Amino acid sequence: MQFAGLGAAVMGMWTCQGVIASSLLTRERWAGTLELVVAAPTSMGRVLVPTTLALSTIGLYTVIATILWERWVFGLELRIESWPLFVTSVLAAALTLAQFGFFLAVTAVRYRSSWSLGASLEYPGWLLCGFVIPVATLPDWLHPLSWSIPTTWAMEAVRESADGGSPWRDLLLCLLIGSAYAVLASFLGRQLVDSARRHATLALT
Amino acid sequence: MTAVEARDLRRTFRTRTGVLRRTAKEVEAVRGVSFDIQRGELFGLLGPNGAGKTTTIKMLITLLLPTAGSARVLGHDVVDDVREVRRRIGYVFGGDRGLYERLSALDNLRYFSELYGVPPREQKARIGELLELVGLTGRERERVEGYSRGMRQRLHIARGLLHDPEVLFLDEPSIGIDPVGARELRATIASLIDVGKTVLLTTHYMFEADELCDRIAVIRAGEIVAEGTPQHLKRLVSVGSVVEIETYGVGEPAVEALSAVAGVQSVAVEERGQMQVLILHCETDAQVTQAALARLDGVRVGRVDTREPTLEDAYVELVSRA
Amino acid sequence: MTTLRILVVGGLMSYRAMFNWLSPWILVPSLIVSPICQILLFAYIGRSAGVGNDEFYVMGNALNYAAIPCLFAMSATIEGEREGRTLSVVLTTPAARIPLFLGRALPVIVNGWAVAMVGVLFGLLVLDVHIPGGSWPALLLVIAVASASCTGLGLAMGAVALRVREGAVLGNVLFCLLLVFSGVSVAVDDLPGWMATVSPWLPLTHAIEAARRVADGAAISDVGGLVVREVGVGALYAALGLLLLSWLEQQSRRHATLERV
Repeated sequence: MQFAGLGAAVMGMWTCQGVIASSLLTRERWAGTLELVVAAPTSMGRVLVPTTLALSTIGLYTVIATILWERWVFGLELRIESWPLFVTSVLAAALTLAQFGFFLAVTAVRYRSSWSLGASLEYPGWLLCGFVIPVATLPDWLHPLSWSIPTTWAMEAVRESADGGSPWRDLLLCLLIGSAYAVLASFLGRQLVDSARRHATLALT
Repeated sequence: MTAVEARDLRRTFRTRTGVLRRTAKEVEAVRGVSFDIQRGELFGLLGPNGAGKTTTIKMLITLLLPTAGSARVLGHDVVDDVREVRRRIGYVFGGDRGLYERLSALDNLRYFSELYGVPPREQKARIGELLELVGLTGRERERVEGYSRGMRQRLHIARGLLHDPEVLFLDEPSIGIDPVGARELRATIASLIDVGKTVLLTTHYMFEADELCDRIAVIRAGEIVAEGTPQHLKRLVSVGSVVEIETYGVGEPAVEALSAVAGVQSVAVEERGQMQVLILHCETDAQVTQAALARLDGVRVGRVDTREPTLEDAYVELVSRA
Repeated sequence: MTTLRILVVGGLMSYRAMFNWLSPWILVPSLIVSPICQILLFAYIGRSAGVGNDEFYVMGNALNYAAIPCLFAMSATIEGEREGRTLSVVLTTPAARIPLFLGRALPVIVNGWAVAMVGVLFGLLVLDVHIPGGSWPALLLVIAVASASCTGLGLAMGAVALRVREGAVLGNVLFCLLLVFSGVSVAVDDLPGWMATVSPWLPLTHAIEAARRVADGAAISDVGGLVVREVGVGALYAALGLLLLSWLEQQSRRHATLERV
C-alpha cells in the first residue's frame, strides 16, 4: 500500500503539468493574444517558465491533498523515514516537471494541435513513471522511455527518502534530465517561433 | 404596408458585480423606442456605441424579449410568433465572428440552408447566385479561417440572404471593410431595395447612411432623438453653415476667442497631422469668416472653406445634446 | 423532410464544423494512444495486484474511453457555437431545435463506437483477451448502445456547459465519475454500498456488464435486460439535455444569458 500511496500522491503533479502546460499557449491562441506574446521583446522562456512553475505549485497542492485524503478517507498512513529528504524530493519533482512543462508548452507555438498530445500524455505518464506499477514490471523496450522522463527519477527519489534510503543519485539524474529539457525547450522555442512566423500559424486558432 | 413596427420597446439588463457582496445594477439599454419601417424601405438606425442599436435589433429578430412594449415584423409578433418571424427575416452582423471558421464558405452556406429549410433542390442554385452576388465565386471551397475581414463580411451577407428573407437586419455590416469593399457593399445593399426587400441598417459611417437610407432614426442613450429623411435631419439642426479653417499651432485662447464671434454657435478642433482644423458651426446667413480670421491674428492659417452641414454635423449635434 | 434533413445532413455538417480541425496529430494521441494506455495501466495494476483478468479491464476501459468523444464532442458541438459566436445566428433560424441538436449526436455515436473498438481490438491483439466468434454481433451492438447512452449524457452536459462555460472541467469530472462508478476497473459489486446505488443511474454501467458477459459467450438474449436499461439511462439524459436547451433558449431571450461569451 505504501508503494501505491506514494505513487498516487505524486501522480497528480504529472497531470497538472502535462495536461495543462501544453494547452497554455493554445489558450493564448484562442484568445487571440499569442501573436502579442510572441511580438513582445521578452523571450518565450520568461513567459512560460513562471507559468509552468505556478502549475507545479498546484501540483504540490495535489501531493498534500492526496496524502491527507489517504490518511483521513482511506486510513492509509504513509511511513516517511526522512521528512527533509522527502520534501526535497517532492520539490525536485515539482521543479523538473516545470522544466518539462516548459518543453511541452513551447511546442504549441508552432503546432496548434499539440494540446491534444499533452492531454493524452496523462495515462502514458502514469504508466511509465512508476507511480503505481513498478517500472521493472513493464516490458523491457519501454524502460528507456521511462528513464528519459525526469519524473521517473523524482518518483524513485521520493520512495528512497520515504523508505530511509539515499535519494541523491536519483535526485541528480532527475535534475540533469529536467534541465536538459529546459535547455532544449529554449533552443526549440526560438526555432519554433521562426517556423511559426514562416508558416503563418500564429493567428490560427 | 408596414414591414417592421416597434412600439415603445424597452429593455433593461441586470448586471451583477462582486463575488461575496453581490450588487445588482439595472441598466436601461433601450428606453421606449418606437418606429415604423414600410415595405421596401431602407431604414437607418444611427447612434453612438452603447446607444441601444444592437439591443433593439436583437429584440426585433427574436433573440431578446422586450422588457416592455411590443414589436411586429410583417404582422407577426416578435415575442409569440417566433417561428413565423424567423422564417421571414435575415440577420447579418458586422465583425469577423459568427462563421464556422473550419468549414468552407460553401459548407457554411449549406448548413444554414438546412437550418432555414431551403429546399434541397434549390440550394445549389441559390448558393451559387449568392456567392456571385457577394463576389466570392471561386473562393467558396476555402476554409473561412483564411478569409479577410471583407470576405467574411460578404459571406455573412450571403448567409443572411439564403432563404430570400423579406426583411433584413444589417448590424454595422461595413465595419472594418476597405473603401472599395465598402463601396461594393453599399451597391449590394442598394440592390436589395431594388428587388423589394426591406432593410434595417445600423452604421457609424454617416455618408453611408446618407447615401443609402430612405429614413433614419438617431438613437441616443436608448431613446430616439430624431427621425426623418436624411434631408430632414440636416435641416433639423440649427446649424446654418459650417466654416472650416485650417491652422497651424492654434492655441486654446484663440479657440475661445472664436466662440465669442457673433453668429458662431460652436467651435470644434480636429487634429489632422501638423494642422488643426477649426470647425465653426454658424447661424444661418451669418457672415463670420472675416471676423473669425481677425481673431486668429498671428496664427498661420491655411485653407478656409464654407460648406453646407452634412449628415455627420447633424448627427454630432443630435447625439451630443445634453 | 426538412426535419429529417436537419437531423442527418445538418448534424453531420455541424459535426464537421466543430471538428474539421481534427487532424491525425490530434486523433491518434487522444483517441488511440490514450485509451490504449488507460487499458494498459489498469491491466498492469490488475496483474501486479493479482486481481481481475485482462478481459475484465479491457472491456471496462475500452467502453469507458468511448465516453471521451461522446461527452466532449457532443458537448463541444453545442458549446462551440457560443465560442464561435454562431449561436445567435443559429438561434435566429426557424429550424426545429430537437432535430437540430439531436442530429449532432449521430456522428458522435459512431465516433465513440470506433474508439471503444480500438480498445477491444488492442486487447485482443496484445493482451490476454479471447472473444468467441459467435459473440461478435452482440458485442458490436452492446458497444453501440454504450456509445449512444454516453452521448445522451454528453448532450445534457453540452446544455449545462452552454450556461456555466466550464465544459472541459465538467467533462473531466463526469469522465472520472464514470471511471469510478460504472464498474470500469472495479466491479460494481465491490464498490461501497452508497456508490453501488449510484451506478445504475449512470450510462455505461449496464453496457459494461453486458459486454463482459457477451465476451464470455453469453447470447444477446441473455443480456437483453441490461441493454434495454442502458438505452433507458441514455434516453433519460438526452431528454434532460433537450429540455434544458429549450429552457436556456427561453431564458436567454429574457436575460440575454447566451449572448455573453
